[in-house]
Amino acid sequence: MSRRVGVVLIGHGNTATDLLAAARGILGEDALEGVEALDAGVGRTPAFAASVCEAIAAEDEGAGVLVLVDLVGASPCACASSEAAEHAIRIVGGLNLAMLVKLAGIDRSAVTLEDLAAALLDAGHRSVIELESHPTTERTGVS
Amino acid sequence: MSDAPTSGTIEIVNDLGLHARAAAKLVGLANKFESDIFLAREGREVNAKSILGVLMLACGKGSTVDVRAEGPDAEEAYAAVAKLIQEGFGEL
Repeated sequence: MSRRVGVVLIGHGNTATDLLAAARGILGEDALEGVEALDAGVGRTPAFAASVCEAIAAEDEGAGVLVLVDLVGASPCACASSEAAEHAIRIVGGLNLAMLVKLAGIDRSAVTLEDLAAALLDAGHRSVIELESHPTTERTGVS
Repeated sequence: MSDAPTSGTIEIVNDLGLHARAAAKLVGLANKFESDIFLAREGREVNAKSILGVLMLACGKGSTVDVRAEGPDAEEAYAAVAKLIQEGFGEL
């Protein structure tokens, strides 16, 4: 059996666990099994840096770990970067719900770390758009 | 050879439209079929097996969507998808 690419989500405040919960609310509670979410609160602390280290180590089955961060360059992102020497990781910024929906549809045992990163980058890029207006459609305000 | 349809235009009837959980339900159903299934609205066609694609159609209540299935089980696939949409994704 192939080893699975690990995934760690890192977000400020409580956004990592909230975003994961939101994705499961859409897709079902059994979706995104094994994805680790780390809430960074206000930013880097020694305890948080240690939790990033532990999470990446726990997710690393030998196929590498994709780390999805909300804000590139912020201290939680720097925590992940500091793990790059210890583990095969790729870090992708701009974590959003579309990326998690995409992730849920991918068999992480059947892709490489590089291909997984590329697929989620693509999903993220496609999701950040200005909507075309649909004047004939009733507005609901619900996504 | 049956003459059952494999394509048609269907109105979105539930209040929330083709929202995220409805899209997840539709995609889950579409993926049970071998056939390729497409949804189209206002010139944009997407793969009905992709949640992000389906959401891109931004179908609200009262809009219509063109459903098209191609493949060995196209008739069953179209009928099932059409039924789900017509029944408001179980939200009526």
